[in-house]
Amino acid sequence: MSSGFSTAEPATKFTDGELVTAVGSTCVCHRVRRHGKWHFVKRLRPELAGDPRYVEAMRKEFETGYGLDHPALARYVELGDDYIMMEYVDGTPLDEFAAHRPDVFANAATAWRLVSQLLEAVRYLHHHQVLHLDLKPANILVTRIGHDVRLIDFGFCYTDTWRDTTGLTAAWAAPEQLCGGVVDERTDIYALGRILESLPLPRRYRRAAQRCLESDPARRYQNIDQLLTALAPRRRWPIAAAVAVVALAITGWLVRDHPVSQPQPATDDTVHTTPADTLAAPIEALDTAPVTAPIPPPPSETAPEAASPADAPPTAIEDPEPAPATEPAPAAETSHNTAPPRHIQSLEQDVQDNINELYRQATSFQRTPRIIFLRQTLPQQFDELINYYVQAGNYVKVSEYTYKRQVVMQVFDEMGM
Amino acid sequence: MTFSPYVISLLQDKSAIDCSSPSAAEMLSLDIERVTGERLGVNTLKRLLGRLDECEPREATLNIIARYLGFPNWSVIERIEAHRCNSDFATVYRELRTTRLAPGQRVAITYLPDRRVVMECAGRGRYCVTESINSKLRPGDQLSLPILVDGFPLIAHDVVRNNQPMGTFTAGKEHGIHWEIET
Repeated sequence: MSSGFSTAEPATKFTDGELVTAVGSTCVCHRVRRHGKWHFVKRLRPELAGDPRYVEAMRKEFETGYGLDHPALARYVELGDDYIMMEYVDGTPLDEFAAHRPDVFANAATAWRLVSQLLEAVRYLHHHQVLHLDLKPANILVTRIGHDVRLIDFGFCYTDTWRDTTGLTAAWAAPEQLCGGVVDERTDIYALGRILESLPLPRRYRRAAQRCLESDPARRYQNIDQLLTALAPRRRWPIAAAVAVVALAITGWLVRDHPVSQPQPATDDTVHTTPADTLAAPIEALDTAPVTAPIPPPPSETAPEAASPADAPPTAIEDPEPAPATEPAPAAETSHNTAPPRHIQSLEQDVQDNINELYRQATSFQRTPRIIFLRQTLPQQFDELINYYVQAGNYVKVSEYTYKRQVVMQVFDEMGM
Repeated sequence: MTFSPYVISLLQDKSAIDCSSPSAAEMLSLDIERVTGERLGVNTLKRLLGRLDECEPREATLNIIARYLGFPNWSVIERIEAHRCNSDFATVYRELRTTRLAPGQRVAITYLPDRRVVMECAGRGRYCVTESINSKLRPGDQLSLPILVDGFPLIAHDVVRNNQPMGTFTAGKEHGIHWEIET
């Protein structure tokens, strides 16, 4: 890398016009169209364009961001002579979102969803030896659609290969940052405590935030896993969830002659995930009787399978209208106590029927159970259902695929299965 | 409005009062009167500390608190807080903002392996190369140079040689540069 002259234009121009969307302390963001898609283009402010530290920080931001891949991290597309191009995120900074939508934070499920997405994103960074070091609401976007978190701005991050040009924002920085001390994951945890403290969250978040804000890093949560554990909602129905897992495992072992095919989603999905890391314990701990009644698979939208009476889709799935309440299938639920938890029963009646069907269907799968669940319900209840299954240790995949106006939600007990 | 964590930390440092304690507002009111000679209502302080429903304090109230903290007025605290919300580097670098140089002053720049360039300030952010050893810059080159930072590359814009634009010149990409003002 020798020194030399460069005659590149100082300001790369993009076609289809540019619209300034944000002016920060170091950069100016424009929304531009490239290849028919909207992108963010980020440039240094003119007064900083000649400062080699900011130039290096921008390069570091691109190289770091480009090497990461997580749904809650904004994607980096291109590094130019004087700009970074990244995916366009239709969202607002976290503090603005909190000011306009306090209801999201007042609701336990949606608040946890946002907070856990943020924590998962930071945990991902730490697992890749990246410290963000500039966590603050301005660097956390909440998407307009779906209210998902997008973490941005790695310009002041620390990585193994970019050890200089680390930075901070004084109002959100940990004490060790402010005095030039050693930084580590606990430094980001301090900033997360500041963020949690600033949001209109329920009281239990305040207690965790206080521990994050301990001046001595040794007294804080030592990593994101500990903070996640401390904040995770208590599992109200661990027995029911464990029993469901046992039913999945045992009937998968018993019912091997009834392979099941599932309808394929029409488009890519939004994935809400949490590690299924507790399956072994409930399976070992519980003693259950085998389930003998195989359950037919749900139909596909384009090619409904010819169904025998035993394989016919259950009525609740085909019929989008709310169905009367039914008791769970006796063979499965009675022996395995797989009746839906009490709080689920408060949902709409058709949702409850679908949940009953969920447990019955669970018995028809093999070693790698996949549960197709069709529902027609209100978005808030849908989010509550997602939260319920995620908390129980499942992966939930929400598809745009629909069958008779019902959205398909797939619940997996292992990622990718 | 309620006090930000920063302002609360300033109050605590100044008064040695734990602002989270139930009697903080009363003690703070007394201490503010002791220092400034002005008395602030306990309920006003409770609102600003977040213990009562928020209110919009009068400017005079905020200025009293600013003077108690040692600032001329509240707007200074607001500016400091605004700066605290901006991202900045954690490390203090040895830097030279070239606008500090007077016309005629010279700065010597060295970088590996054996490069040395001396530039003379021509005013208005422009510099003229007066000496060049093993560098691609030549004596007589004119350029714009906003800042020099030890350990970082040199980035010179709008380089002109013999009235011909040469573009941007970058040096010391691998190991950075070292600068010294020549006396």
